[in-house]
Amino acid sequence: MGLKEFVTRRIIQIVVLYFAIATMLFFLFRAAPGDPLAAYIGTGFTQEQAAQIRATFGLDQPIHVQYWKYMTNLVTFNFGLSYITGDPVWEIIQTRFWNTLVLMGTSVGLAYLIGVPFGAYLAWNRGTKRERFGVVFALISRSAPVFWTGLLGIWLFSFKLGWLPAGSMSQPGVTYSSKLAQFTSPDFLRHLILPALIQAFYFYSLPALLMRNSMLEVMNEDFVDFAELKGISDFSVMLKHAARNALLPIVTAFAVAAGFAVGGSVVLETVFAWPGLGREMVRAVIANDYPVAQATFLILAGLVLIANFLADLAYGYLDPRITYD
Amino acid sequence: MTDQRSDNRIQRRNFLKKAGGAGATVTLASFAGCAGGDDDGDGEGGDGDTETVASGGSETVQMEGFKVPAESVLPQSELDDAQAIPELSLIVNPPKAQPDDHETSMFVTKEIAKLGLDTTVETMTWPAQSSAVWDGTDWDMTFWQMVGRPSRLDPDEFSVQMGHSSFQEGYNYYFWEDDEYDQKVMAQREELDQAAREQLIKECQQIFHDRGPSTFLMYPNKTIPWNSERWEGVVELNGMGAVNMLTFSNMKPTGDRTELNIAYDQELQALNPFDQSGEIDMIQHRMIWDRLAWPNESALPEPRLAEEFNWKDNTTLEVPIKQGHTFHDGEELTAEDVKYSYDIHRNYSTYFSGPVKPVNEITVVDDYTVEFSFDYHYAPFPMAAMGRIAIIPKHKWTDIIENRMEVENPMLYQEDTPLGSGPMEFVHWNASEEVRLERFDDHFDPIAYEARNSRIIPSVQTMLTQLENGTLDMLANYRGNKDVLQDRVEANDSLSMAATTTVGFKQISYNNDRPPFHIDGFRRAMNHRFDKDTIVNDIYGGWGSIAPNSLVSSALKSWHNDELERHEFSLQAAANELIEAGFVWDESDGMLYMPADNTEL
Repeated sequence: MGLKEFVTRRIIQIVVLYFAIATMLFFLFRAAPGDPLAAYIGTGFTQEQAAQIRATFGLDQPIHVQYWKYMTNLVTFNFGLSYITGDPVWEIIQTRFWNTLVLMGTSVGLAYLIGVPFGAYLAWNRGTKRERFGVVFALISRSAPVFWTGLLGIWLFSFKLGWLPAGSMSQPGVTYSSKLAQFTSPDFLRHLILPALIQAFYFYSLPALLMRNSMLEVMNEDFVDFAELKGISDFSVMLKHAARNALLPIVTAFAVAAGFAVGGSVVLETVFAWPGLGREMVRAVIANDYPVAQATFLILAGLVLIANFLADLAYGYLDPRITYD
Repeated sequence: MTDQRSDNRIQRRNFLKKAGGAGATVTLASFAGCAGGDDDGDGEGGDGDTETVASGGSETVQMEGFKVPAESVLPQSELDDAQAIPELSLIVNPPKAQPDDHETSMFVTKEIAKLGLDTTVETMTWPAQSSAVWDGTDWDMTFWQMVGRPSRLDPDEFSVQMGHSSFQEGYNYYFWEDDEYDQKVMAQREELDQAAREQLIKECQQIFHDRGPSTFLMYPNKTIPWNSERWEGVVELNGMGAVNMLTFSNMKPTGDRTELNIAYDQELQALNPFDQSGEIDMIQHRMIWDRLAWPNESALPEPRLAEEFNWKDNTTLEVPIKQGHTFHDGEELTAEDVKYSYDIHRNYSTYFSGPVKPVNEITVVDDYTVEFSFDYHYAPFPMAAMGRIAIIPKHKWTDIIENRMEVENPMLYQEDTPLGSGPMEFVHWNASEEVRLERFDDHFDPIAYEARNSRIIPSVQTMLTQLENGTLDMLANYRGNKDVLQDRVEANDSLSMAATTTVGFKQISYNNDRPPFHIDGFRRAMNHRFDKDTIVNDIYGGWGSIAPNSLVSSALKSWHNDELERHEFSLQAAANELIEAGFVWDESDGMLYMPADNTEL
């Protein structure tokens, strides 16, 4: 099977899987207890008025009709209206999606920029105190919950030292003409530093430990010994020969992590008052706001599927020994 | 979900073992000696030695912690299955959402179980609870909370909607009916004399208290911290607390600060003049859209956009409005806008359709006078409707309703730039982040600062840090540990805090349409199983006022009935109510059974 056939087959698989996930989400949310319109229907509404509101959202229709409507709308990426705000779901998600993408993109980027060389360094220094300390430090950072490190960071850098803002994306009252203007403003970047560093502190240990293990395997290979025997400097051997060949599992991990990261971190977004997708997802689930909850999960699922697909492609590209059979 | 059922069963089995140990046949005499009085160490008055037993002078049997007359303890063979009381479940939100409510529920169900009942606590998220209780009938007891809002400063809303039998599809979700209550609560609506109206409201409270369709626990405090070094003019409104329209109308910076930064912990639900579903929406609304009335510091309605309330007769209210006032776009606000605003609530299902139901006609008398005609004298109208209904620009909403609405209800339409005539203009709403309003300079009651930024900060710790480091000026709905808040406010010279009893309440409601709660005596017995001192002072840390069984908070001093006697927390008192109502206990395991002649509705 060639690359073309592989790509076609994987795209078909992704589409089928995506619609299967959409179906599952539809029925799972409807199986959840509670009236999704509880937020609207309440204060002294008559049965007739309540029925009117239900009809507005199409909830008076039989379940198969609702399902058909939902699936056909999905083809055009129409996720419907929020049961809570009445706004189009896409509008609700779009803003938060970009907020999360910038925060998590920065964190993941930082984590891999720091974690990968750090892992290679640990492997290269195997058996030394530096390696032992580095591994323990990585394990501690992976075990420390983000809500704790986040609050600790706020206490230290905002409250005690006053260096960085204690959460939110901007100073109160600031108006930006566009998202781009906001994301490139010094005020936003100042607000981004602390949450991005805290999340990166949690993320970096995964690539670091993966890289260390992968490097240890590669370092036993003959070509590394050969490079050393040729008199190439340690740094060059580590970087150009060992690290480069140890990167394969990191690429896969990066693709999957990037996919998941777009879903946002509820804890990070809550602690830092960051208006992102993770917080919205939890709010929608708790409030039985099905359309928003479904859409956020679908976006997350879609991105994970695509990320995995890209990782598969990258794997084959980076390691010519891998075929698509 | 936490299940106490098995614990209770085990306790009952132990009871039976002890009883059996006194003799091969369980006799009344052996029962009397098998269990000591109040051995649970909770300090509860109820050991049976010091309290009167409703025995009518006959021989008594010592149960676990209370005594009953011998004829109230029957062998299994004399009990009908129909008399058996199934496990009673109390619905409450999960501990993560409402930790104190959940702890209270655990505490209360254990106390209720001591009467010989199986009880359990069932956790549900708010939508699930709302659906189960509001739309369904298959529930026993539910924890319920109502929050204070301006319209609730008049006791009519709670008293009618939560007590009148015609509201059983609404707030009277516990299916309670009392003809005398119905008659009195409707009579107060039509009463012209304030003193007589207050008296009727107090009589309603007495009926509610005596029959106990719900057990009220407390009127919670609203705890608001703010930066008093930078700001002055905070008004502690009776029943509402420091976050109210008077505060934001009166606040003045003490220095050169020109913008007020306030934190809320949850997202704004809507900025729609016909929808005010969330607590956070309330102040934004009143800043953007004027009302005909506002409450004063005594929580009584006062003219706002209206010049006066002129009752021409019992059923006609003439309301002249301020002349020359404009909307934020410069268009003059006239009586046509007022009529249009009220008519929308009469023609569509909105949050405020209820309070305008008694209105049968609205007439524009001239450009600045509008007249309301009612089906009957509707005394609460100034607070219930005029204090709530936003005055909207007819010139904008006519176009929206005719051409722009995707769904046939203006409550579901969100303007890009909400337009009103209030003291502040809308600037931006950054989703989940901030709502910014700026001063409307041409308002008849201008405010002293330039802008108000409502920040959404979901983390209590982050919110508090931002208040301490000066980013924020006030926390509008702090839901964290109040003792921690108090400590941190006391440690910071620039902060102050107000803790005000609200008109809201926490209660446990019974499904009055379901055995055994259909029996008054059973509900009255339940009322004696609430150790409100422990609940309010220990579980809620004293951040509230202990409530008698009254829908009207003690914050509303002229309306609240001070003469209601608190139900004594006592097993014996509860048992006496049950004995009076004909309940019996199974002699083999001490479980409670309904009266044989009253097992159904």
